[in-house]
Amino acid sequence: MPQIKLQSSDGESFEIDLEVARQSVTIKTMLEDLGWDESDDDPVPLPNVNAAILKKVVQWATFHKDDPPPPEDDENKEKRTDDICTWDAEFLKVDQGTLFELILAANYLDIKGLLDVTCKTVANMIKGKSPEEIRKTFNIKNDFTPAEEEQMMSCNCSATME
Amino acid sequence: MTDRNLMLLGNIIFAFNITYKTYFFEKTSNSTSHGHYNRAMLYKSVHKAKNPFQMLDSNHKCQQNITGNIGCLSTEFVPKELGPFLIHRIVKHVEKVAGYLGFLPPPTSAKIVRFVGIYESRIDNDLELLGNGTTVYNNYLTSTKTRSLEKLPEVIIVNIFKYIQLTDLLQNVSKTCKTFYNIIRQNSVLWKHFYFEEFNVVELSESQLQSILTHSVQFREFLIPETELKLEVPTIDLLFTNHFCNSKFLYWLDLTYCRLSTLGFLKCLTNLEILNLSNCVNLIDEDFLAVAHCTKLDQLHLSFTKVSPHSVLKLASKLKLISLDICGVDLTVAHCYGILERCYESIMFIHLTLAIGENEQEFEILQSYYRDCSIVKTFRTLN
Repeated sequence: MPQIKLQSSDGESFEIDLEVARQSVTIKTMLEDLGWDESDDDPVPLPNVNAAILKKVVQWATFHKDDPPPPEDDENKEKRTDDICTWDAEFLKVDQGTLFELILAANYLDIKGLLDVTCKTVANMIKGKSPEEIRKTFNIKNDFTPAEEEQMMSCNCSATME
Repeated sequence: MTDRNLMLLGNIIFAFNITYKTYFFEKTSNSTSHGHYNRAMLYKSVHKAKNPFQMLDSNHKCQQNITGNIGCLSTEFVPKELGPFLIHRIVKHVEKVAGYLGFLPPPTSAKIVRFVGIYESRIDNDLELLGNGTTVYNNYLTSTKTRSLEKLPEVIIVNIFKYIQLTDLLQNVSKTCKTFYNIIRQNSVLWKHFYFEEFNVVELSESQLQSILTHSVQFREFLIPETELKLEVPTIDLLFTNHFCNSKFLYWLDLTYCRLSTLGFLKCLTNLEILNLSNCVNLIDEDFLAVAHCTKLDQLHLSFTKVSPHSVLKLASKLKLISLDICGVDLTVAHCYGILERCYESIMFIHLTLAIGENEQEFEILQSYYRDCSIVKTFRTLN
């Protein structure tokens, strides 16, 4: 199995199967563009991903390496969030900072499956919560003025529609 | 990739290009205007590009290799680290590229560092001009340990919000902070499925309806059944006509009990599959003929409207309806035969009313006739 070296922003190298790395559309496109071959020993620098996150990404991509390509989103349908597999749910039991970093890394590396499942996880943390509960969950500051807040509360959803 | 990110990416590619070009021009001429020309061209190509690799002059293969590589590694944002990274990549490839271009020797690292420094300040200036871009850029640069949900790039937040129902977004999430409030109000992509019933309110003011309809380009489902629109009828007609012409993705429209008096906008809704106009009493018989423009329609609800049996027959012959609700429209048995005959290949459910005085036995014969035919799955009558 051909291997490729990935280098994190903090200089750590990860040697992984080429097929695992190619789940990242960013890396796949780059290798194609550069005409990369197996004899090329240069590490691929990933300046937006640190070693801790890259390690998690590699772990996810290795587990999912035999998955069929994720289907194109059906833009007509509302998106489900209750279809996260058990392994992914366990894998994503991490602190919020790590979860956000994983989302950014998945977005940067263009790994649709990982981006989907991480965004679903955050969406599940938001769904059905009151504004105050959302603020508490994510440590968000309420930056509305009392007048703005009163207006929104008094007219249900109307204020946000105007 | 958003325009803003393309712009940011354009800056960094510009940064690289100008570094190299400056070196090149220092060697070949004293032109100082080249950089500005090149900048304008790059911005143009960046905006036209579908991906980072299309941003560059396709005739310039070696340039494309280097900058394509850089572009690929910075598809979303321009990190501060890209300065040293640029140098790393340039130094790494410079001999090969310089060989291609025939302008040896390559620029020294010190020279590149100097120019990259110039670029960083230019990028900062550009970001100032871009307004929100600065926020995105600064957010990106935030330490990973302090990153929080509302400070993630907008594109990510929208991606998360796509998994949350619009009702939840409007009633809870948008009231969390101003960032979320603005993102939800401004991103039409979050307004694809509008079910007004879920809001537990029954009225919409003109400003609210106008505001909602600004997202019409993304509508997939727009359901406002039994909603009291606090508008004059001509205003309703005007708003629907102006906004639904953009709704090319709309496949489900429910305007039950709406006071609209025109259906002219239906000719734009070519992807409509489900249409409910029940109890739209301001519509006259001729208006309903516009429904025939919606050739993908398979569920049609026209109960308690002024549609005539004659118009229903016309629609039945032009559409491949699976379900038809014309309850409250008095039909003769002959009309029923006519409708079923015209759409018997597709129809599975029909809800109709038999006119007073029609022969019930004949109708039962019709029912038994179509019961024999397996295509008709359900048949219900109301007297």
